Order: sequence, then C-alpha cells, then structure tokens
Amino acid sequence: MRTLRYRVADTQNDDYLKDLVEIFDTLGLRTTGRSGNCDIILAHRTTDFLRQAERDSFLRAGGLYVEYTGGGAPWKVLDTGRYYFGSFYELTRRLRQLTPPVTKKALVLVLDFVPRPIELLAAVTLLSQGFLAVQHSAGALDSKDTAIKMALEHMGWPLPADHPGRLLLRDDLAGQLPAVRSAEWWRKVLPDASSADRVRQEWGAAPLRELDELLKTIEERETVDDAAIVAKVYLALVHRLEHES
Amino acid sequence: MTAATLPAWQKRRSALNHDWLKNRFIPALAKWLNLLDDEVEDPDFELAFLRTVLPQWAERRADIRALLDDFEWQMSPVNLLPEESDDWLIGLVHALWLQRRPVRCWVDEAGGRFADVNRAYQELLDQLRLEEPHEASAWLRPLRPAFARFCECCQRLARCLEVFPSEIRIP
Repeated sequence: MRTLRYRVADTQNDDYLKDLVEIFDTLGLRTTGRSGNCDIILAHRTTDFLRQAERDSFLRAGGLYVEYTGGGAPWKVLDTGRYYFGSFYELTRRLRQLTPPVTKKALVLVLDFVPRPIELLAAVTLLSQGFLAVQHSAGALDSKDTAIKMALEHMGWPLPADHPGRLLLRDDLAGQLPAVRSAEWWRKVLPDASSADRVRQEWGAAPLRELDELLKTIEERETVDDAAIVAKVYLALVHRLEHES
Repeated sequence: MTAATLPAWQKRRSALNHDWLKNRFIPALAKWLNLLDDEVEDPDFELAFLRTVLPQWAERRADIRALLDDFEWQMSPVNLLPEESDDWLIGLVHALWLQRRPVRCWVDEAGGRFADVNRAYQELLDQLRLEEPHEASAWLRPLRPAFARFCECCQRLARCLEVFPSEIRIP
C-alpha cells in the first residue's frame, strides 16, 4: 500500500505544526516539501491558506485540503468536497481517530463526518442519571443487577462523603422517587410521539431494544419502574455520546 | 458531547486565549524580547510597546478571570437539560460532573497561572517605575529578565487555558 504524503502550511504556530507532525508520524504518513506531490495539505486559514488557483488545482488532482483555525469554528465540508474547514482542535481530534496504515479513504471518512446535533439523547441521559440516583438514594435499586451496578459506577454515584458536589444535592433526594417513577416527569422532555421519534433519529444506529422499550413506556404508561432498562439505556447513551465527542 | 452549537464560553476562550493572548500578545512580548536583544529593529513598535502593548494585560485580565470563574457553570452539562428542569436534578447533574471530571482542578490550576502572570506584571511595573522615564529599549535592557519572566508566565497561562474542554459533555 502506498504511503500517504502530507504538507502542513503554518508559519505562525509552532505548536500546531508540532502536533500535526507528531500525529502524522504516528500514523506513518510522510511529509513533503512545498513542491512535492502530496495527498493532503493542512493550512492555517488566516496566514497560510492556499491561493484559490493552487487550491482548485490541488483539489482537482484528488487532493484533500484542510484549512484550520485556532478558534472554535464548527467543522465544515465545503461545497467543492474534499475541502474542509474547522478548528484545529476538531481537526486533531478527527485525525487521532485513525490507526495505521492510513488509506486515503479512511482520511476522507474521518474528515467528511459532520455530526448531527444531539440534544434529546443528552437530555434522556441526564434524566436517566437523575432517575438512578434517586432510586439508589431511596434504596429502591436491585444492587445485584449488572447494568445498574455499571451505570452507578459510571455516574460516580454515590458521591464520596467529603465530595464538594454533595453541597449541591438536595437532602430529600429520596423523596423524589414518586416523581422520577412518574412517566409525566419524563414526558416533560419527551412530550409526544414525535419527540420519541427524534430520540430514535438522534440515536441513528441499529435500533436499541431497551431505548425503544423506555420510550414506549414513557409514551403509553403512567409509571417508569424498570430501573434495569433505564440503566441499560443510560450505558448505551453515554457510550454513544462519549464516542461522538 | 452534545450541544449542537458552540458554547458561548468556548467562543470567549477562543477570543481571549487564541486570538489575543497566543496570537497577538505573546508574539508581541517575544518581539519585544528580541528587540531588547538587538535581534530586530522596529522603532514604531519600540515606541508603542510600553504605552499600548504591555498595558493590554491590565485591560484584559478581568476578562480572563471572569472566563475562569464562569467555566464551571457555563460548561456544565446542566446546560443540556431542558429549561425549567427541577432544581434537584440541576444540582445532581452538576455534582456528578464535578465527581467525574477535574473541573475545579482545571480552574484552580489556571487560577494559579493567572496569579503568576499578575505577579510578574506587577514586578515588571515596579521595576519600570525605578527606571528613568525612557522608552528606548537600550535603557530597558536591564529589565529583560523581568520581561522574559512575564512572557513565560503568559505562555504557561495560555497552555493551561487550552486544557479546558471546548464542548459541554455528559459527566
């Protein structure tokens, strides 16, 4: 397999240059000089961007071109394709997902990905945390259930006795048990079938049985009782959210 | 992560740390050090440095302090909860965030670096007051160690500010 070649155009930021060289070294890509042929050019947008003619000719020849900035610009795949723009942070985060040997197709895949906004999944995850913490505080959980144990462990619950976060907790957390068991409490976030559909849409991957079950319960029943299902949903969602970040 | 839009805190950090501190202020300090070392010549810059460049720290430091102070709540996952969520849930989600991420360590560490910059700045001002009122770099050469220390402290602060997450995350 041919070793891919890259060029970084950044005369202003030694630290960015160093980070990119380090990443590409790890991935086994080789650098080229200004005149050498390469597969990908990465340029600091404000100082070292390619002139349009040079950029267009490079893109036409099948190259990948990334302009980055140190600011917090959202990631964009520009109209012409294979032309990307975004923050340096996001660029390196994407490149670090690659493993050697790196193909051009793999590079395109990580650069092309534009995340969909995920809002309801996050809210459901946080409601699940609240549900599990309250259930635990009320002594209502089956402590032998693996998913429940794993979910509580992941949450870091219960907080250690001397943890500063304890000051933020209400003394009557256990008293919220009737509220979190009520489907109405969940319906504040997921009021109708369309919001449940949006959750499924945000989830996107192969259907998750437990998530479907929880959404159905919220929609159709008066109470949400099955903590193991909530724990499984929580674990699946945090896994997804952590990998999307 | 999950906030669909870039958090306001991240935009502020970007403007302060990336745009100003790293890309304007520190390079200007580095240029001043080069000027003191006679490695570059720039009479306009030399005249302007003490009047308009160096005081920028005093003008911007309150914004940096506020950035640090605001981090904990502006980047908390409670911002992913729907509006009008229960108070107990907001407290719980925030507490879990503090449990799972070294939120206050990040702020304390950056606060320490911020204090270092302020100290170095004050020391520099104290030494400048003892000098003859002259803006030429040749007269200020004895103060090079103090300028270098100030620059170094700014660099450390900039690195420290980079460590903060730029997205709101589920704890």
